[in-house]
Order: sequence, then C-alpha cells, then structure tokens
Amino acid sequence: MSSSRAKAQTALEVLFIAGIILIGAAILLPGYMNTNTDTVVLMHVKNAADNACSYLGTGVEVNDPAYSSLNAVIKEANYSSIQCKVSRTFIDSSTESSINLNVTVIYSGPLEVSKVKNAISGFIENWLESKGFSRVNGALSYGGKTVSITVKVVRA
Amino acid sequence: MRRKAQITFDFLIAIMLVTVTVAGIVSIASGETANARTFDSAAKLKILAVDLRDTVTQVYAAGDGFTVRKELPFELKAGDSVTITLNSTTNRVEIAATLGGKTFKVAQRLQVPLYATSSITLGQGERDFNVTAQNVGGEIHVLLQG
Repeated sequence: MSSSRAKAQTALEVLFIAGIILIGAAILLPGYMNTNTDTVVLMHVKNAADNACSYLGTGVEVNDPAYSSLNAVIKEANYSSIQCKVSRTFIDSSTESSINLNVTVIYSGPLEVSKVKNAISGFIENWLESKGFSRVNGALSYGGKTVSITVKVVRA
Repeated sequence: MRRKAQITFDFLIAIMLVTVTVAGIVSIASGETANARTFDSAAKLKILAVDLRDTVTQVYAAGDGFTVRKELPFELKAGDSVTITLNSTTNRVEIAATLGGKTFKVAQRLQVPLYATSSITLGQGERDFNVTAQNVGGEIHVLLQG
C-alpha cells in the first residue's frame, strides 16, 4: 500500500521535470529555428555568389539554363575570364517574416557595372529557386520568410 | 533507472536541434558536388584553350612543316565529344565540348593570323591530335589534323 503511493509520487515528479524540460524546449525552439533559417539562407546566398564569380572567372560557357544570365556576360567579354570576387555577404536585417541580405562583388574588366550586376543577381535568384526557395508573389521565400537580396557590384 | 530516462529525453531534444542544422548543411553540400564537377570540366577546357593558343603561336613561329602533337587533359567517355576549331574569321581558337551531358563552349583570341579555318572532332577513346604548320603560297597556315 505505502510502496504504491511512493511510486505514484515519483511519477508525478517525473511528469513535473518532463514539463519543465518541454517548456524549456518550447521557449528555445522558435528562436533556434529562426536563427537556423537565417544561417541556411546566408549560406545559400554566399554559395550562389561564389559560384557566379568562379563561373565568370573560368570564362567557359556551360549550356545550362541555370547559367543563362551569366553566359550573356561571358559572350560579351569574348570568353576571356572576368576577374571577380565576392568581398562581403551579410544579413542586413532579419525579422520573423522577412530577411534582407547584402552581397558585394568586386570585378575588373571592360564590362558595364549594370550588366554584371543584373547577371549576378539573376543567377543568384535562379540558383536559390533551384535549391528549394519558393516564389511567392514574385518574391523569394524560404522557411516562411521573404528573402530579398541586394547585389552591389563595384568595378576595381 | 529514472535518471537515465530523463537524460535521454533532453538529449533527444538536443539531437533534434543538431539534426535540423545538419540537414541544412547536407542539402547545400550535396548540390555542391555536382557543381564542383562542372567547374572541374570547365577549368580543364579553359586550360586546353589557353594551351592551344600558345601552341598555335609556337607552331606559326616555327614555320613550314612543324608539327606539335597535343593531348586532351582528360579522357572522353561514351557520349562525350570535343570539337576544336581554328576559326580564321574570328581569329580565335574555339572549343565546343559535350561532357557528361553538358555542353561547354570556350574561345581564345589568337595573336598570330590564321589564313584557313580548320577543325577536328574527337570522340570516345580519341585523345591526340596534331597542330601543323604548312606553307601555302608564302602564307603559314596552321591546321589541326587527326
């Protein structure tokens, strides 16, 4: 009799502790997922920008729809390699529903800044779409967040 | 016994958080391998184009009858092909290649004049070709031969 009561008490204790752990997890999770989404978006954008630059660097045209916007620039540069590097990629601002990223690219060569800028931002958006980002009303979206990317191109 | 169950429970939550992060990284990494392969082929073709540009200059300078045997820096598998053209209109060496289902195109401007357009296509198992200089009516023609 007394032993069964003791057992019931401990079960309640365990429930209590489990409850505390669950509440802790519930408080922790949203913030963690939010940061995780930001990190994944940043990694994808950084990756896409790096790929755009190394693609322009080789100066080889690959007949693939993903590279179509960069191919125009390569053709215009007469298949010569375009010295290009990503100087900085960072999260400008991030809220519950949207994230703004900035990408700065430095290049040298005779090409116009606006053309390189359009090619790189076009490529990044294409790339993200192929990596599981969705288009909602024309804007990129990932993990419930609207992603907007500002590409800044500087001629060295 | 009870303690052990507790530890496993919060440990599970920790594992879940780590899994969420790892899943994100894995999705990026898997895409990267395919991408790295494309860049590898592109870089090799670029090297070939630059190498050929220098070879054509060298053969042109050496003059009539001089031949250099070149080899592709990679092996062609079934379905792969490489077409190399010395284009006298654009005065460029142009390479169009199909490797692993992807089409690559690269060109290099030549520093010496070309008087005739010549072209060669290499298929599976073929690797070598000649770059030859011929004197035709006082002009040095640089040609590609199998």
